[in-house]
Amino acid sequence: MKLNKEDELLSAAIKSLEGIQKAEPAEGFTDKVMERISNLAPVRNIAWLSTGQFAGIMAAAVVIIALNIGFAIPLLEQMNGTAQTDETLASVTTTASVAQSPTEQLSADLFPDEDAETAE
Amino acid sequence: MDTQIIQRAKAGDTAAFETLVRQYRTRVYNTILSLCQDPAEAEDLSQDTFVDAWLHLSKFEERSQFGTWLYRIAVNKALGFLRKRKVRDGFRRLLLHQTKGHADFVHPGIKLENRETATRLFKALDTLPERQKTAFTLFHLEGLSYKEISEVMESTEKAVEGLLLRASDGMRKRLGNFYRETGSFALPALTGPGLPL
Repeated sequence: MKLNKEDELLSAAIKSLEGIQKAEPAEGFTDKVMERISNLAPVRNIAWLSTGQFAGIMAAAVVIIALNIGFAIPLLEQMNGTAQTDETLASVTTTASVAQSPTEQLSADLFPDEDAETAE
Repeated sequence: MDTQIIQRAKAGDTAAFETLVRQYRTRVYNTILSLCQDPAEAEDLSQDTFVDAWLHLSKFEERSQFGTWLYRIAVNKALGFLRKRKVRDGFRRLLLHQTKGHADFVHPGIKLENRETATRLFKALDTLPERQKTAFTLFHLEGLSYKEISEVMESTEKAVEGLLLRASDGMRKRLGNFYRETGSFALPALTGPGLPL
């Protein structure tokens, strides 16, 4: 009995679909799709490249990058070298000036009155 | 007719593809609408279906009908959306303690006198496992044959038959539960030959 009722319910439910009208998407649907596709067109062209073409483009890109790096490294080294030289010179100068100060101090300690005598 | 248009579309002819969109948009939209039961989402997902079809047209090898291939994309889009919605709803229930379900879906193409019964059917359909739901929708709403459904679902006709049987069993139980919960069910007069169950 219960099963019959359920069968009846399912039959009724399926019967309710009879004569169902197809729903239409909103107006301008096709235009929206075509607009999205036209915006995607360049991407699609890339997707259309054959494996060989893609490999060729990638190889060219690698060569260009390598050349750039090849030019960039000596330039960077040169810049780095200049910077290092400047730094070394600055360091030497500083050391020299720092080293001079104790000498003067020592001289003053050893001969405290020499300057005064000379002055007299 | 279709073959020439498809060949032109494959060659990048957007006008040819537009013809295909016009030809198949209603079928794609209705399939997605029946599966996801949300007109706004169905509109977006239908657009996505055609955009995907355009992007992958070169992969269409014409071993099946173009319509079948499109149905496959549409069904996958709809099922993907349903999976995401299920996860999103789960989080909402868990984090926000929202227990409110989706509003009852009323298919715009249903006759007025059948709306109540059809609404129950769609509600029951929404709770079926996704493969059963897909088979039931393609068979009863889209009118596809077992063979066409098996191509769309990348399965065998025997498997489709099994899915439809299980879907019908599930629908019987769910509709029976609705009947027991409410104590009434709007039944149209059953006349004519037996309906396929």
